[in-house]
Amino acid sequence: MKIKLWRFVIDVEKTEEWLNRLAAEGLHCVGFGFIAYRYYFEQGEAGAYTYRIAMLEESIGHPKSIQYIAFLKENGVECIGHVLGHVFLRKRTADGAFTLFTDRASQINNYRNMLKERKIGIMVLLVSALFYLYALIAGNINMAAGIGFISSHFHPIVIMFYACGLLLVGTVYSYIRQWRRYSARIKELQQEGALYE
Amino acid sequence: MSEKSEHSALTEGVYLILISLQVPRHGYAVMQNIEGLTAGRVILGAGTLYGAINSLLDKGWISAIGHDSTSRKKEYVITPMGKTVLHNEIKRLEALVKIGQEERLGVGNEN
Repeated sequence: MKIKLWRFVIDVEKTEEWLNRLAAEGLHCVGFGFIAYRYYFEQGEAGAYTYRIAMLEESIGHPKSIQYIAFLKENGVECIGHVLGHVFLRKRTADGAFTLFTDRASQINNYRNMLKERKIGIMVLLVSALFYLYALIAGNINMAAGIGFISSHFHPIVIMFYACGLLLVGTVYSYIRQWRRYSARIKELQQEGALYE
Repeated sequence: MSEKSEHSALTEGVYLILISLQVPRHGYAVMQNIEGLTAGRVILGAGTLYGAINSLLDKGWISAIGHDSTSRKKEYVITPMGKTVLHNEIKRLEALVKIGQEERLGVGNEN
């Protein structure tokens, strides 16, 4: 029997930790809904799988991505789904440790790809924030002037609008934190690279 | 082969991949072989191995030779150019070890 759980992906690393924490308790993710807010799990042996979420360099249908996923499959890694340029992978824990990037160069390359995606994300979110601010100001002016059918801040449409605003602020904040985190890791790895091969 | 290829140090991962591909192996077998050779000290991640294999194929240091008859996994093997690179790297490492041993003996004599 499949178990459904809800989670909105903002921070990929935290989602990965969440999937591994549930897997350690015997809940193994087998797929998710359209934008990865609804996850499907199956009950199984505790700790049977290790999960990783990887960033793809190209879109999911690109030959390079297809080749990469096929290579991972040959190496015992199962792809359970993809969303927004990320693939959700799992490997049986009994088959050994599951780490995708183990040397400095590939780790830096991976963080750079993640950083690039976050930068684009922040720009898109900031443009959305401008539209949101415009709608917020215009909406309040209209409400104060008695224009339109909404006359209260507690109207369901207004509450939904404010909830979207909170989500937007939360996402921008999380993306900025991730950007800073990945930048710091790249710098740290580069500093180590000056000393060690 | 470029001058850089001839004189640059290989990464530990690339060195061990070239060593492993002196006989045809698929990706997972390469990872297992490296883990065995280094007694578990070096474990290559699948993403790292994939990137390295693609770079080595681009450089012509290894080639893909089709699929393993039993597992249907793609196999790779070192090329003559890859053997030359590996040979040069072994010579470079031997020279470094020699310098280290001589210098260490020097320090020992002083004490």
